[in-house]
Amino acid sequence: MIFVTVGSTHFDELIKNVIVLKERYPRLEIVCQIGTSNIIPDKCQWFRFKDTLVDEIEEADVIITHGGVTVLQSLAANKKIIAISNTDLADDHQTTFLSTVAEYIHIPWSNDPSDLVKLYDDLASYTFKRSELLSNDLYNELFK
Amino acid sequence: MIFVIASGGGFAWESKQLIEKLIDDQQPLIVAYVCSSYEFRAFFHSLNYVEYDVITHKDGFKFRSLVNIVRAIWTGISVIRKNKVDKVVCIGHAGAIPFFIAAKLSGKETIYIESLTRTNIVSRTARLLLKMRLIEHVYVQWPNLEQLPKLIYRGNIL
Repeated sequence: MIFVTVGSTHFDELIKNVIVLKERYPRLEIVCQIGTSNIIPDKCQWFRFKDTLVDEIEEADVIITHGGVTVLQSLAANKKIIAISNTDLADDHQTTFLSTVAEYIHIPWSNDPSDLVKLYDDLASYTFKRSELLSNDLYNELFK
Repeated sequence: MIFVIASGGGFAWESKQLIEKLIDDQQPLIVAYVCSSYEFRAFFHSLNYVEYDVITHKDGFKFRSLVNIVRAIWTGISVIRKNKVDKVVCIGHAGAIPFFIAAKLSGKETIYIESLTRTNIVSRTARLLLKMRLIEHVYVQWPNLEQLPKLIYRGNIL
């Protein structure tokens, strides 16, 4: 199953390209969390929000995500991801976030949603090894 | 007693990561959830918890009204006094502002951790908190940010 998540806002361009991916590979089972997006991927299962996405992330083989913390949440769950930054958000921080994450972990990502199908086709070339960057030192300093 | 100010969107997951560490560590805590969003609602409701709907995240995170902010400050002061709070902590969002004002008025420590999604510049909230002297520094979660003044890197909350 492929799980798509756009976070708490809207990301119509990503949903448009998920529809293109579904048209290209009609047998793919795709579940979409579309937030406040205006475009509905009616050939896929979809919902707007849920209390938690933990079950969807756990069940997914691949997660297509906006450039939010779901990237780290999914990597922490040892999942394959494709990340597309939502460039309309404040300071285009999703693009800077993804480029920084990509310095530490080799992930497929783009700031152009139309790259989605190409990134999906290249998925096998990524290993998704978690970085040693993740540490408990900040918690220990503040609360121990 | 640690008072965690949690919010919606991606901030909810980051706050949950911190809260789970505090619970594992058996640290006494109380949580304020300041945004009417959906993420992890059942998890937050299972905690020693107050809900104060000070932020909306329709079209970006925004305060609801000035009156709402003043009420949040009053709520913060009440929670801090009633629960004998020592530290008020927030990861990455503007909901910190009224509660950090409450902490300062109550003479308590404030800790602001920048969101993991901020990698090369800190948020407007962090800059505003520094300007208002509600915090002495910002804990950032990526090493390249530490080069800027008043920003400290000591790892991350994951």
